[in-house]
Amino acid sequence: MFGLIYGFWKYLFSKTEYFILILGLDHAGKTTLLEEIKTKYTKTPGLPHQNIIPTVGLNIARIVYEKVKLVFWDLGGQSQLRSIWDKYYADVHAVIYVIDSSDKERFDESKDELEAIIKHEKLQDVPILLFFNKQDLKEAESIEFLSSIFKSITSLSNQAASSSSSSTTSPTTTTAPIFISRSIQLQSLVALKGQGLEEGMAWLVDNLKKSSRIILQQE
Amino acid sequence: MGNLFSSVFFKLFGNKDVRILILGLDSAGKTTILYKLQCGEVLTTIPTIGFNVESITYKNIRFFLWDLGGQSAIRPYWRCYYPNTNAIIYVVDSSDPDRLGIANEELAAMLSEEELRTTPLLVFANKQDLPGALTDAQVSEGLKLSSLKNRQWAIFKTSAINGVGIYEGLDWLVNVISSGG
Repeated sequence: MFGLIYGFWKYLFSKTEYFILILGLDHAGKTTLLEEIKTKYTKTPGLPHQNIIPTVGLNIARIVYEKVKLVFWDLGGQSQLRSIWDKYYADVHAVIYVIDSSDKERFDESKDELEAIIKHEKLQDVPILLFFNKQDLKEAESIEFLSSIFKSITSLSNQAASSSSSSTTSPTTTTAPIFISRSIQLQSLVALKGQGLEEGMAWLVDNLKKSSRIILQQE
Repeated sequence: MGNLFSSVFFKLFGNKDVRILILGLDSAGKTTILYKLQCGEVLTTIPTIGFNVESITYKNIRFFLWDLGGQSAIRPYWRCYYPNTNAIIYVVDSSDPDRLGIANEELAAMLSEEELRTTPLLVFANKQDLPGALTDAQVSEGLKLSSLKNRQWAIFKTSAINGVGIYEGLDWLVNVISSGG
């Protein structure tokens, strides 16, 4: 009897939990973003940014945002660590991709990694939030310029998204099946100060609530 | 109430006590790492039967480091030390690829324990000074670290006798502990 009431209580008040992967090249600012998220949305402040060291492994943040539980996974971005990214793809509801706006030499590398993420079959339907970080730096490229650079990739998925929305419900038979009904958002960011974070989070949660991705809980 | 006092006390004086287990197969280098951290020297160690415990203070955190013996006969006793553990240091002999599989099994068995469900894990790919040592990427693959989803983890290449990588790992632990895990 008690179990029944408890179950009902849980059904009424438990919050859905979403998992979000934070990816990007090394030194893009992923961990800084993660710590800023902790500082802004939890009671325990994150690390001061000068203490952050390059990630080799996994950092986690758990927050509650607008009654939704969010778990962020921040993975190391060095080239030899990127092979483990896809081990997490099956378990996430969204991806945040962080780009260093001031690192012109590596835009192409970043673009290639993003393309691989977008084309990955396990990430077909997840929303992707692009954070153009370090907008406070003098050398940083403007968001207009950056979105033109990344357009070749983001437009791919947007086209596919619009074409599939016209002929919904049959994603299995389409000829370009890789980019189905995905939403991508471009957002400028200064992770150090949290500028742009709130806008990104609002978009993310909005899209998470719409997503129908179901993930089986392990452990 | 006592809780409140202690948390205020911590905020004021900043010295935090944490309990760390150092685990791994026998002759991985656990005891050497412990004493390298504690007194900065490489001591001649003998296989540990039972445990060694030392406390070190690093960046305002007092670490109680428990180094448990790694021989197969005494591994079942590791579990007696699991409660109230803040982090695990798992030491692997990178020059011993043959036993990486066993290291993985022991790690998986340990991490499936309820008491360690979300405990952060720091892996030392030790003995990097030896020829033919596996890289950190190979060790992390052998230990299937990428299957860990509910805990923070990191891997560092270390050489206990040269002192390489150990403090980088400790810095990571400090970060994890001070940002609330």
